[in-house]
Amino acid sequence: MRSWIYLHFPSLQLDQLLLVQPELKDCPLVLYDDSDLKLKQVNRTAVELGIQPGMALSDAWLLSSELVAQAVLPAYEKQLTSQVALYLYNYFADIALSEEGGLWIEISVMQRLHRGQLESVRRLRSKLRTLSLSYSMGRATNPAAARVLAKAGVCLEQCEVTWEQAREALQSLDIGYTELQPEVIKKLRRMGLYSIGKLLNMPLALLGRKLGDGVVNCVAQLQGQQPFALQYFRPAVHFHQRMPLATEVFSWQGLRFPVNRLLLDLEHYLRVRQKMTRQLKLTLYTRDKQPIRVLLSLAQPTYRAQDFMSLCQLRLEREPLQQPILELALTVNNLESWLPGDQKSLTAGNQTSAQISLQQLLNQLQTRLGESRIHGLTVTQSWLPELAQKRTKAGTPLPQWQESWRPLWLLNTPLSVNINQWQFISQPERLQTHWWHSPNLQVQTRDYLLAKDESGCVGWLYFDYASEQWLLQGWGS
Amino acid sequence: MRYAELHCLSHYSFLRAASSPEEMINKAQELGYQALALTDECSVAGVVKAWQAAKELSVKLIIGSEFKDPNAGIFILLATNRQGYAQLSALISHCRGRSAKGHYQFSVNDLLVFPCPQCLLLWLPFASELPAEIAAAVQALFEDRAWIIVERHLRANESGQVKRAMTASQLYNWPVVSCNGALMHDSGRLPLLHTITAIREGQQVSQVMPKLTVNSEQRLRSLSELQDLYPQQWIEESARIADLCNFDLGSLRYEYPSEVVPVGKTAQEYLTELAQAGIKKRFSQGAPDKVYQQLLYELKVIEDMQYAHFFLTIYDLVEFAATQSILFQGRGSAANSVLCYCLGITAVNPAQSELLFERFISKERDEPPDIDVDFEHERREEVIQYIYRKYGRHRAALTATVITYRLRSALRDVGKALGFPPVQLANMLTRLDRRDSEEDWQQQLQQMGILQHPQGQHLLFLTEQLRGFPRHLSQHVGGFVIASECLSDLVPVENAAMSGRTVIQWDKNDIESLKLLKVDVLGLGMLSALRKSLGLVAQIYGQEYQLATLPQEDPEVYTMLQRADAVGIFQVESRAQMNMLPRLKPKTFYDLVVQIAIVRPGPIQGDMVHPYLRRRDGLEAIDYPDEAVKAVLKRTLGVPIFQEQVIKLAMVAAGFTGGEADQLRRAMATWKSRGQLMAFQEKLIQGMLNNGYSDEFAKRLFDQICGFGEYGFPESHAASFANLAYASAWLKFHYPHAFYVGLLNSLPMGFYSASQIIQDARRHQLTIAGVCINASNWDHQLLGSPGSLFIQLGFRLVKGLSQSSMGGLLKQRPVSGFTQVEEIKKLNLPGRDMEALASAGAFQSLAGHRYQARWEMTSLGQQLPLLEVAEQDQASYSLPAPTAKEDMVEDYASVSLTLGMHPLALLEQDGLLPTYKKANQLAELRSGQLVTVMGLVVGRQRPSTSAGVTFVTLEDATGNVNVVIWQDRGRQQRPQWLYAQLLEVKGTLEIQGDIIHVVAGRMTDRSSLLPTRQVKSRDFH
Repeated sequence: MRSWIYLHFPSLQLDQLLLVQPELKDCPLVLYDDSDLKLKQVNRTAVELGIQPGMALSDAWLLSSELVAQAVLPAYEKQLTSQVALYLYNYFADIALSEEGGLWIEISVMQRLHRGQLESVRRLRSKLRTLSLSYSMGRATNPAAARVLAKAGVCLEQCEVTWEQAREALQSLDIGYTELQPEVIKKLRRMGLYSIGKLLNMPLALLGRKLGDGVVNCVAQLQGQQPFALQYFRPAVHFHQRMPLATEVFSWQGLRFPVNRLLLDLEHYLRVRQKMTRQLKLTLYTRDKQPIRVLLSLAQPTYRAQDFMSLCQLRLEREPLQQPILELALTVNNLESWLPGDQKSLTAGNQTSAQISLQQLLNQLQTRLGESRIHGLTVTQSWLPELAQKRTKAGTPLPQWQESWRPLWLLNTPLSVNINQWQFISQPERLQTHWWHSPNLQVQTRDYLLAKDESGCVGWLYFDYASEQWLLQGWGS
Repeated sequence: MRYAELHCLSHYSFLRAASSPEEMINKAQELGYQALALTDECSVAGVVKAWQAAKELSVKLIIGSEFKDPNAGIFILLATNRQGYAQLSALISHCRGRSAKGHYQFSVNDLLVFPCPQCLLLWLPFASELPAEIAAAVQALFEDRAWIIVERHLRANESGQVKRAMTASQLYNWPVVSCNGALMHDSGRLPLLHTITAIREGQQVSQVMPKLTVNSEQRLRSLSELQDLYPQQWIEESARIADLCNFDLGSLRYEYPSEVVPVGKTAQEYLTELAQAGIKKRFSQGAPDKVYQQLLYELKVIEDMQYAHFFLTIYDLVEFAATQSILFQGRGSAANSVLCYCLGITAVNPAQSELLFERFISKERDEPPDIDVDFEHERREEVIQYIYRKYGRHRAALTATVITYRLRSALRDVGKALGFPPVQLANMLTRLDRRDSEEDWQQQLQQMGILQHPQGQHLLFLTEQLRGFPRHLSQHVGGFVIASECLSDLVPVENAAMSGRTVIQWDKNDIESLKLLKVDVLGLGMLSALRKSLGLVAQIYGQEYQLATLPQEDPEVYTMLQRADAVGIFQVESRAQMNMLPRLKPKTFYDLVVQIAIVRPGPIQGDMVHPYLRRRDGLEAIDYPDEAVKAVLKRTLGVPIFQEQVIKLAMVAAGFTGGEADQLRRAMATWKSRGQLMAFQEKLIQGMLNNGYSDEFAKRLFDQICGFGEYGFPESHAASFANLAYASAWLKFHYPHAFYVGLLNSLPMGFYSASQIIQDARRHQLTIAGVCINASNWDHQLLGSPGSLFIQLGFRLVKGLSQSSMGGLLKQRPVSGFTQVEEIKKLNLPGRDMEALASAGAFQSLAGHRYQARWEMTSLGQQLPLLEVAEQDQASYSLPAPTAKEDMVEDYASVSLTLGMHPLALLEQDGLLPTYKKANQLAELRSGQLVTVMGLVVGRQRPSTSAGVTFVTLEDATGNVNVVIWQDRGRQQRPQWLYAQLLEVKGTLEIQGDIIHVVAGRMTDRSSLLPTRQVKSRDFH
């Protein structure tokens, strides 16, 4: 008989946050749904303050001003579930992912290897213990029943679980543990059908007539009478993991632990797949600026977190963080097999420069000089010349919004000029600096004019009221 | 050099300009301008404020407005005289009238339809020519009264605009005039201008840079700056235009609608006639001489002030209401006059109360009379429709209410504009203690670490600047302005958000400033309840009563009030009022007037309550510094309790003139912080000292004035409310069945939910029958006959039930009722309604218990083909009946109350509750005793006057327990009490006379014992 285990993770993202930033353990920590600002996961400290899942975030703030709040990230939860699946994939063959962030493991297929289902359960528990995650486990003869039991926290301990035992365990459980639509659950309750047992005892056809085929399918799946479509887990081809941080991190010291965690996950990924890499990309996300991308390359491929960590340390310690970091991501695209391959030239030898596309050229330049040294230029919405252009990703086309005339050639630092050597040829344009860059909302005023110098060149000058001097901002044509 | 600013927008061009009309006027004066035209975009909403500011200054105010044609440019019309103003107002009304609230439509073609011959036209062209097809016509119409505007803001490509203007000037032979196009009075407002631009665009400041002005030149600039920018001739032209504009807003004269006076009579004659007839009717035994003399005095004042039309207009409305059996009651300073009693506007008998008659209409203060008329809230619309029918929509519109930025809205919008994440803003808004004074909000935010954010300082500064800025015009709750001819000749009219409603562009303060009259048509739930209750008394008992004919001063009614048996009684049912009833022990109508006025934040904050009680109980001597003060305060034992007493004291003790007292009254009425009142502090105190009053008396009086704020009640309002309080108490005592049914059928209103009112009714031994498919109507009914009456709950109680489909069911219900469920099924009512009825237990007589009924009534709209075969033999299926606990859960889920056992009794029966004292046992215990009480949390209140104390009301099976949570205890145990539905409180019992409460010690949230989460509490309203 087939037998299934379902693992339900009620607070996967929260657990991960506490693993990565253990200093938050004593803070009330909550995860909320971004769409309605209701709490989804809360830690023990928060519970002790009276904060409960389902509560409005604003109410939670009323109960604690020390609250650390972060949005639930469904994609991240999914990634975390996949990581757990990848880990368990070492020990269990048939693993399937559920939409709501849990896992099924068919343990009957491992029966012979593990010499009995209870041994499989024991091993599974032992492996899960190393992950330090909250979970509950359910066992049954079909996936649907296993999931309900797991969500209810009921784990049968028999050597081999039968349908009768599962059914018995399901009897008293609330119908809220099923996958029925909330409105159907509400209707059932209003008829006094609170428990799964009562639901299973109802005539199926009549239930369908009253409440639709959703109920029929649900009951049939619970009874194992209808197949249950499972999405089996396969390890990803590339490695990419994001890791949000619960609090902003201001220094490399604060990043060490989370980065190490990511590198350990990478090591595990590479080991399982018997791969190595010599290049990885670490992305540091800040609040509102461009993310910081750090490309780390090794002369020889490796899979060991320790090697990568030393490299990270060397690289990141040299570059102090300009802004607090909110999130990290680690990406590895180029995997190599265990055997070292040929060392290829960075540029293909037989291409002429005319044949190289912009994209290729940029790639080659970035590979040779490093990503951070190649960038494009774009115009911004700012009216201030010094802010009107900024660096952007290489190859980004120019936006169209610039309306007013500006000289193309702007000086990095405006030069002081003797105004007597210039002749004005335009009306003044008065620009004021951005108050939001000044702590006390002060603005400085400049009057810009076009003027010709003695040799007839057209310069873009301005009078700076703060320093009371004329300066050359750029050259026109 | 002479200069007039002819293009200037104030913050009444919502989210476009960053200064108030007053700031603009004051700055124009400071800069030496000859005149300033306030030209808000298709609006004159700010002109009254500007007019008031300009009254004492030399700068002349010109009334105008800006209209934008996206293709042709900006057109400004300036009124040269009264007719020009009416033409401008009509054009604004026209442009606003064809757009939704807050918008307008204008094209240059409108100038051909509305040529506004008494207005001047200024044009800021987007192109150098007008659209070809109308150019000649416009040129001909505005031949010698049009100008071309040039505005230089020192931006790139500005020369193009100047060239366009010059070309247009030559083409149409219209002279050029220079303007600032001011959006702010001072360059310091640039950050705010940028911020409101971002708010308008719904984006962050840094994201809307193309829409931001790059410098602060769009302000009122100095004459020397203007001289650097424009030729002298263009500047001088502005002053020449200003000389042509000679309209003063103060010259607007209100003209009354004439149809309220019969042909052949003057308004005064007709009013006197009605008054004489009224006094005979009201005092059938003959009016006391004092009352008659007062009536004559009032009529004389009205004649002198020419207010007869106003009273006749109100009389006309209440007459209409009376013919339609709509209950109403007038209130306001002029309402509680003998005249209003005689005209039937109010039912407060002047012989019975001791109102200050001189407040009726104060000649000295030259205030317009104030009468608000409350109508039944469910039928107010009928009165409004009557006004529209009688006067036409072109003559009647509602006054506007200017919705302004308050702290929270300003903080939210500025925060968004500065790029604060929504969650961080939500956090700040939540943690700002809304009950604390708003004065220290910046300090609170700083404590939250706001200054660590790079924009934190900006947030504090800009929020403070934005507070008080208008956001949009909304409709006043019921203030109508009715004109003799076309209302838009007086003030522009625009669409309100509500379909079919129009509002004028001025608010009630503007109306008051210009001495225009408005008629307040308000809705009041208690009047609906009283009308319904009085109807039932007539129907069941055959006793016809009206508000004015209820037996007065009934001692039994007062005895009931003294016991604080006041659930559902108008104005005295709140927790604070109920606490006061046993202490104040009202014995007369005037006691009730005092009771209503005294339990208000004003008197409480001003520390007037305790002195009053001590003096009333003879524990403190009543003394007056002199006879003048005695005359004002005698009736309230030397303690100022009513708002007008405070005003009167300012006049008699501090020597305020009528005008100054009026300013003080306005400062109190619009009180938001102590700031505005502080301006009066020195004058008041010094005035009293000069008149020989002691320093201590002067300071105490000032503190009392500050305490009053906007919350203090005028005596006349309190008297009108006391009248309704007495009426509802009288009904509750003598006809409780009718009282409860009337009240329940008028919900939502007041402090209590249907559940609490029904609990109260059951404590008064009334019988209540649950919702029944054969006995219930939509409304609750009083059934049976005297001696065996019971309240039959109606379908209106059932959650999610549609009134229209129940109307269909009721029409088809046989007189003897349905006998089978199948009959009802055949009516094909929506499944949702049938299921709601089933869960409410309405089918109990036909289909057994509610689970079974719900099962029977549930069906899919469409059959599943595969299942059709199987259904025949399985159509009937018996579900087990609900237990008592499940019944209770269903009761709360379907009708929000239970007629079965109280949830606490049920839990107790199941042995789930620890030992506790019940509400009806507390009176027998010793004050100071430690007790444990338990109950459903049915109310949480934290009055702003209570210094952080929270009052929680617990309901057990025997009654309510009042719990007091002191601030520190509340903070420590917030998780326990803030969201609990079932709360256990260990604390100290305090008994003072009839007042019993428990001061909370340890609290435990027992909500998990409750099988339902549907128990609702009325919190912090």
